[in-house]
Amino acid sequence: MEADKRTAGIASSDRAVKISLQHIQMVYETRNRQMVALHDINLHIKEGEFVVFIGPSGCGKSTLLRVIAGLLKPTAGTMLIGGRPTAKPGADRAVVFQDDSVFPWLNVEQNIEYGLKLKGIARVEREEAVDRCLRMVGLTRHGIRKMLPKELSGGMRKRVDMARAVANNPDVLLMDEPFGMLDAMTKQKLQVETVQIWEETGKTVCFVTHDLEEALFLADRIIILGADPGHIHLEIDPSFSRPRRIGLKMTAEFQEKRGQLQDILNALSGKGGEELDH
Amino acid sequence: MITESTIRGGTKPPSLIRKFKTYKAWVKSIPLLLILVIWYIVTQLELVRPLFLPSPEAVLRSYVSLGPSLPEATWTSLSMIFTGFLIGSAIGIALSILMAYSKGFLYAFGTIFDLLRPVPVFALIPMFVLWFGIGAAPQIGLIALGCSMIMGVTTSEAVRNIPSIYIQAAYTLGADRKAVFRTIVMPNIVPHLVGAIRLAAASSFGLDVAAEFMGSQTGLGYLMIVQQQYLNTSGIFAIVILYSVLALIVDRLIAVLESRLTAWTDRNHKNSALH
Repeated sequence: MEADKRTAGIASSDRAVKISLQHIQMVYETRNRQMVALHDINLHIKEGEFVVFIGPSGCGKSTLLRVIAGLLKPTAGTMLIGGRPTAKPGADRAVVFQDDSVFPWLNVEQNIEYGLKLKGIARVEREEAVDRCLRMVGLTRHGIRKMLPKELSGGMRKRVDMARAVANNPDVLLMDEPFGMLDAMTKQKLQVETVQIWEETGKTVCFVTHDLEEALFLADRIIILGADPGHIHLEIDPSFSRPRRIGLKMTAEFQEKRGQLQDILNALSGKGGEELDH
Repeated sequence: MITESTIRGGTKPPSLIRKFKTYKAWVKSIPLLLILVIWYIVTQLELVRPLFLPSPEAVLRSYVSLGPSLPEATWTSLSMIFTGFLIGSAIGIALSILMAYSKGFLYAFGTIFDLLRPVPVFALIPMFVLWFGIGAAPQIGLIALGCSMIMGVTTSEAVRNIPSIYIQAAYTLGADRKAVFRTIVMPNIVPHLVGAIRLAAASSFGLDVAAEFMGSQTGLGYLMIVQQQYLNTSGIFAIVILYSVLALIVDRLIAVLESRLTAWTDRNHKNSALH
């Protein structure tokens, strides 16, 4: 856990636990059998921590993220957010989904200020927030604020999505394979921007991916989930120093760790009889 | 620096394109003109008895002879159509939204709604006459029933088809159920509703004609029945054309509304890939 050379400069052990999952169980009843998506998940995520979940397909990593978001109610177990039992979605936990969730009937500006408007924040402040968040996600093109999502590329829409989540100033940012649908170049740029946003804002981030490089590049802590039933298999600390820049991916150390991670996942998928969808 | 207007592909189409558009409008109107010409020739050569197909001049003359009774009849029919349409649409939309939101409403009305849906509204005309007698009330009721079915079905479908990701995103951005309705459900169903409103408006004209045929002492449909009794085919033609023009005007007005309200969807891009 001593990878922390973050700008905040607080040792991770001193930080409070933000998300606490205790014996979380998620069971789906299908017609002829019970499907255990998550089995006895126990996990503590500290404030400001960047946690990445990886694992073979069907390991329940997206399910786990949805439980934390409050969009799925676990069949058993307790979730504490900031010490309080929580089972519903709320503005304190923003989600960036894999699929396009930018509201197509609102323009860029209206999308980003959506949550702020619900909170009843004054117009001037909303304008400022929109400006700040657009800059944060690298959307600086003139006239972008009034554009409709259908006029934007997939990468730009994802940026709007991230800006909307950040603008709402949540404590926790939940990202469910957010860059899975994007091309390699856009993906790389957004990874860098994600790191920058996190460094700037110090949010707690839970990030689901099946891209091992993405996991290593972003994470303070990588949690590897196993399938059938979904459980926590292993935790890994990439321990690369911060701030991380894109050149890190080229280093021998990074590639070596990537190889090790791949081996772990291969063994895990082999055991579960499933292929890692990477 | 790329400006907004260049991204959107310019503000005004060049005059060449506009010329091409008017040229296309002319080409498109050729079939219609052709029909009018054939109509004229057929009646001039007296190939068909005027009882079955009156000449265009006879139809025009009918407007003059019907003239005095037309404004009142048109007003009666239109007010009936709009009243029925408004009441029916409101009921249809309200009921299906309530059914989408409340399990109680779904259980109370869902089955009735599903059973009533396939029933042809026109088949209920004798019942309406029997129960409510002859007059404006049963006619408005019939139009309202037809419209509420169309709007109800469309609204239910539209609510069901809202991508759940938008609703989930709204909840995680701090929306409650009320806010989700206002900010997600409404904007998503409006484009579908406008399409249904067009359909319902067109149907209300049809329902109005049928209702006035059954029993009425005023209105355009009633006037048409009178013409039929006197074997005045040109009069019938005149009223049919009047009905069509009125329906067309209403349809065009709603179409303008539609394109304004659905600008954010992809529906405005006509599918030209098939040509």
